Amino acid sequence: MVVLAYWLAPRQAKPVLLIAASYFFYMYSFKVYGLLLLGLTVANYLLGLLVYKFDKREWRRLILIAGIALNLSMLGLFKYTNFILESINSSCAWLGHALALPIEKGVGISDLPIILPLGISFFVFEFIHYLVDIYKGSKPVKNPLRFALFASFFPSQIAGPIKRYQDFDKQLDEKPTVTFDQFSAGLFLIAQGLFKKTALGDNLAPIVKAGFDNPNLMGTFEGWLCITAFAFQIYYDFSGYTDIGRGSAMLLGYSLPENFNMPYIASSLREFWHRWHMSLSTWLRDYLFIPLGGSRGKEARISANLITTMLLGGLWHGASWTFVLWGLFHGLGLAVNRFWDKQLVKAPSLARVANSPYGVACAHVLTFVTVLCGWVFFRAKTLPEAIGVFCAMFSMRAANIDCEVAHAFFNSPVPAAVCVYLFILFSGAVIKQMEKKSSGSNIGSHAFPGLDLQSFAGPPALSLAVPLPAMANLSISFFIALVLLAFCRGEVQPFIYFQF
Amino acid sequence: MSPTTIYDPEVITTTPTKVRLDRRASRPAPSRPPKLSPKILATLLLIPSLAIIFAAMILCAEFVLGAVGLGDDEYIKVDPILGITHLENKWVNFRHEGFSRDKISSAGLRDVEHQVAKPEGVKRIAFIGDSKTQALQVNIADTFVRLVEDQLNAAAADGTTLPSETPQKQQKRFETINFGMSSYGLVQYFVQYLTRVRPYAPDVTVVVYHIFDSSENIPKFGTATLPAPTVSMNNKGDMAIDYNFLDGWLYTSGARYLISSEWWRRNSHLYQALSADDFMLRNSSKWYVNILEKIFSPFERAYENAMSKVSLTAFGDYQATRRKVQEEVRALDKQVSHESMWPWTLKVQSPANPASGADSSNEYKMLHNAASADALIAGRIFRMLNLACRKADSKLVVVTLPAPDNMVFYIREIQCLKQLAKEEGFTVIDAHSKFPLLAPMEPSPLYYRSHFSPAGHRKLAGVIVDGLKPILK
Repeated sequence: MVVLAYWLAPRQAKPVLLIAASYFFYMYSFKVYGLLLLGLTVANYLLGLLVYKFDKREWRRLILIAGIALNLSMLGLFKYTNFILESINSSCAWLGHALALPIEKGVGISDLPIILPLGISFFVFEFIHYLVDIYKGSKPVKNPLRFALFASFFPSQIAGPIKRYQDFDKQLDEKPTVTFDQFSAGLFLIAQGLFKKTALGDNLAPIVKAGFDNPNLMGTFEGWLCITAFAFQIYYDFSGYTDIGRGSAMLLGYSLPENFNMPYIASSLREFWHRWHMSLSTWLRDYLFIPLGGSRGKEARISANLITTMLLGGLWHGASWTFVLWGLFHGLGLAVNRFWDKQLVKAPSLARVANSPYGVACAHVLTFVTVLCGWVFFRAKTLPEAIGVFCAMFSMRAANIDCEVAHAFFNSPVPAAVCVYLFILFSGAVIKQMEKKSSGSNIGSHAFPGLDLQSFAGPPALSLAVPLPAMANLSISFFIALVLLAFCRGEVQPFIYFQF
Repeated sequence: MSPTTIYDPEVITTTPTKVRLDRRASRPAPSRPPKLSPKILATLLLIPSLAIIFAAMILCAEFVLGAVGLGDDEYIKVDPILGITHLENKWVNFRHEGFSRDKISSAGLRDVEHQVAKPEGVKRIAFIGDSKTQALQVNIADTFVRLVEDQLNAAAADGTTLPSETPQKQQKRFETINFGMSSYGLVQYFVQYLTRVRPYAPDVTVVVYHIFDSSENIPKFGTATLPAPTVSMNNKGDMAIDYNFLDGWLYTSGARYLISSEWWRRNSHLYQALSADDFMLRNSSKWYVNILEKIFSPFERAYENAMSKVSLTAFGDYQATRRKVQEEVRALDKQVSHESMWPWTLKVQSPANPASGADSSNEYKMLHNAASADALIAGRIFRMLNLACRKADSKLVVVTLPAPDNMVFYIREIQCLKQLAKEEGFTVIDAHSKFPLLAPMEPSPLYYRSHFSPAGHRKLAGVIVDGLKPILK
């Protein structure tokens, strides 16, 4: 309905319509948080203009700091208040227990009834990026409606990708158009995203739940199976959401940045972060790692920068010590990765071994295993739960008869979903080649050797009349929508990244 | 020279092609149908192309779902005796709690195939129950009914292998049959025993009893019409099987829809998947229900008219079967005690007593009163069922399944059942007391949500085997 209304509306009314739709979706569950988004949008818009207006660097810096403080305080208030209170309480309880003080049961601070506003972590990071870039010399968005649209654009509102305002605002200058090809490609992305989320991610969830609910029942095989299932659950869940967001944006004539590029084929942790949640990793690089000093200075300093960046990145994901540990784990991993890269430069013989086929294969496996270990912290609600899963993974033991993990995997629609997904991937690759053929480009036309794509194109008159790649996109989207009917489960799983 | 000029007859005159063009130009142009512009051609071709492609995709999706074994969600058919039963010989995959894919037997049981005639030397145990016994959440091999058979045969085989039998191919000593069906209650268990279970001549008939199994013995005012037989009592206190409410349901468009759509519900994966998702959404989303009502309200009359034409002749002379059941129940009722031995009074505990818990809340008081009344009727049905079993040389066993916490009236119901069992000479296996009490929504490896996981089935099978051993000796 929004897409239809958007394309029927006159050009001037289009941004207003999108803002209204975005606020409607945002306020659907908690109306009051629309005011929070609106308030932060107005404040950041004005702060951006002020940063740009002042010539004196000190003033600009002061306004920037005020702006960042405002955004972070909102994030802290809504996301970290209860975490801090709980930490104080449990620390007091621990101290009381250790020192025999009368605070063994904590200091009695109870949680505040705070409900986390959807997507706050994402739009706060977008606002900080906006202010910092203006401080560095970029031009602010003068039109308040355009800024409001950047802040609230619904396809990326709840779980990103984290947009850059320069890229987004540039698209508002152009006359909004959408071709049949773009429209069908958008539909294909939405359908693919829904399939990833519903058929793959949601069907992996019971396997993961069975393991993490009862880690002590798992054996070695079940431990690894459970965490591998989670690795793919979170990937399909999050990349599915991104596909849906990007596809929705395409239907409206906008493009959003890609967020994933086959992260699990990475051969190093550094490469993994170039492929996983790319909009966040580039944000962390540009607005945290580089301001901390980046890759300049001594190795110890660089490693400290890496660890600090990832630790804060972990905390950004969720207000829990397990997320902090996850960030710390990746920070340490990146520091080790950097040290190893340096060693390879120093020792050519070692580099030869590392670059041999066996060395590369080992690197892929080691990276994947490291990432899996990180996911244990990410998924566990408590440290003992994480330890329980690690014990299952790294102690050679058989599963308890009541362990459901392997049973839940082998008796699930996941293998069927994987088969259908491979078919969808293959179709997507063929359609891409058809698009390239029809646009006259030969780039990548040999991705499937032996496949004669001319036969798909048909006679020239027909391919002119009916845009075949677009038709193929439409038909595959329709096919996905049909098969999805049989894959969705009774229990709807919310998107994992909605909680961040 | 630009490529466009080659087709200009005024300019090009030297090559043979050009000469031909030149000649053509000199002749008067013949009248031709006007050429369609690419845009119009595209529009004209687009709609049929889309229709063809979408039709092809529907077939493709049907094929793919069939190949990967999904989209077999339907398993219910209308039955004029019991309300609903299983669609026979049909693959069913269940995805709403746990996951399973198995075939309903040719006799319409969620079980492996069983012949009606009892094999010689085999003791048969029939299990009657609701969705917990039907156990769509797990594969047939993992249901407690199968596990009970495996465990009993394994125990019987210890050291008792006949000379003609190899240890690998021992003769089966026990055979369990699963008659469980979701939504069934006690009256259906009773009618099911008389019509479907008894022909299998079970040596032991196990009623897998659960909380609320007696809540629909008589229809409650204000509830929807039931797809099930109920009981009614006349002024003299005689009990009879009442088919009025089931008949009321059979004449609804919902029941007629189930009858008319049976072919699609058996054969089309997409139809089944869509139907299952529709059912799921109707039960979970008011928004979805409102939208559907708005969309389909203009067609409601036409739909009702179409459904009213659906005939019930396919069921044959089901009235004869009903009459037979009713007569037998009337006869059984005359032979059993009508003494009310089930009542319990609700002790409202004093507010000063902090342990009053669920008993003192008004909501639970109502539940207790309703359950107490239901249990009175349940006691009489159990007496009749026990008598019917005795007449057919079958021993009645009642397994009381575990129920969520705070269901005090269910615990009382179990106590009353035990008392009744003592008086009437049947057995109660109290599985409720053997399972852990859980807090609301507390995760347990024994359950998915409300139904048993394979671990739960294993535990229940163990409890039942322990309870059955003394009876089977």
